[in-house]
Amino acid sequence: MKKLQILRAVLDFFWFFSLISGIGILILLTFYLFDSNMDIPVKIKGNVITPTTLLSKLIILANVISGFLFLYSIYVLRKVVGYFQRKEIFKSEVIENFNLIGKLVISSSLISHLSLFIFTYINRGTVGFSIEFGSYDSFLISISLGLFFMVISEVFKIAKNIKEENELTI
Amino acid sequence: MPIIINLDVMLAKRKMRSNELAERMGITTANLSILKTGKAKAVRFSTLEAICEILECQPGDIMEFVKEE
Repeated sequence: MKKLQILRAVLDFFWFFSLISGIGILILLTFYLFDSNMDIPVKIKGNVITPTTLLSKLIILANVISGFLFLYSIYVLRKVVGYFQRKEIFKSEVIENFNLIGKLVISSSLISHLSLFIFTYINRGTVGFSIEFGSYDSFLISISLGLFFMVISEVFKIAKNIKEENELTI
Repeated sequence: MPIIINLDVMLAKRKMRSNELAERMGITTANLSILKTGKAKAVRFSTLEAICEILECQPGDIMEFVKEE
């Protein structure tokens, strides 16, 4: 399957460069959060945050955690694609991993969006909800994506049972 | 599972070995063993027909329903 090879290559590429930047962010974050002289503003999903207060530091930390959760979901997805390449499709590991990816995507999105929601509310005193049209960065899209992976996990569970039943039919 | 397979009893009555039955049925001994040990999830009518024909018995002689406690 050529598509599977392309997917694996894209995921490997993304994983490799994200991991490098992730390690960099982790090292920088230590100085960034605990060194009071480093108050360089960061832009997270259109919001400029300067780490001067404890709240803004917590918001940045929450978004970094969210980023790492997303990165972990990519790692698990790579593992799943690896199983597919070895023709091990209906395995309990694949089912568990799909479910885990779903949970990771949802938690990553929730942490990121909730923290930014709180930040906007406290700083601007307004509460807003927007539906971004034509973007994969939307909250609803990421929640749907997470739920989709969980549904896929359920579908694979049913398929595994059918496969077992078929193999044990004499 | 409440369905018990009594194939080995029937084989003993007919003084036939599992290998011979598998060979005559045209299935592997591994598959017959799955059936004998009750690990099978389903039995095809064609398989049941072959067993009944070779062992000269009825489906009820091979399997029985035992209520689970």
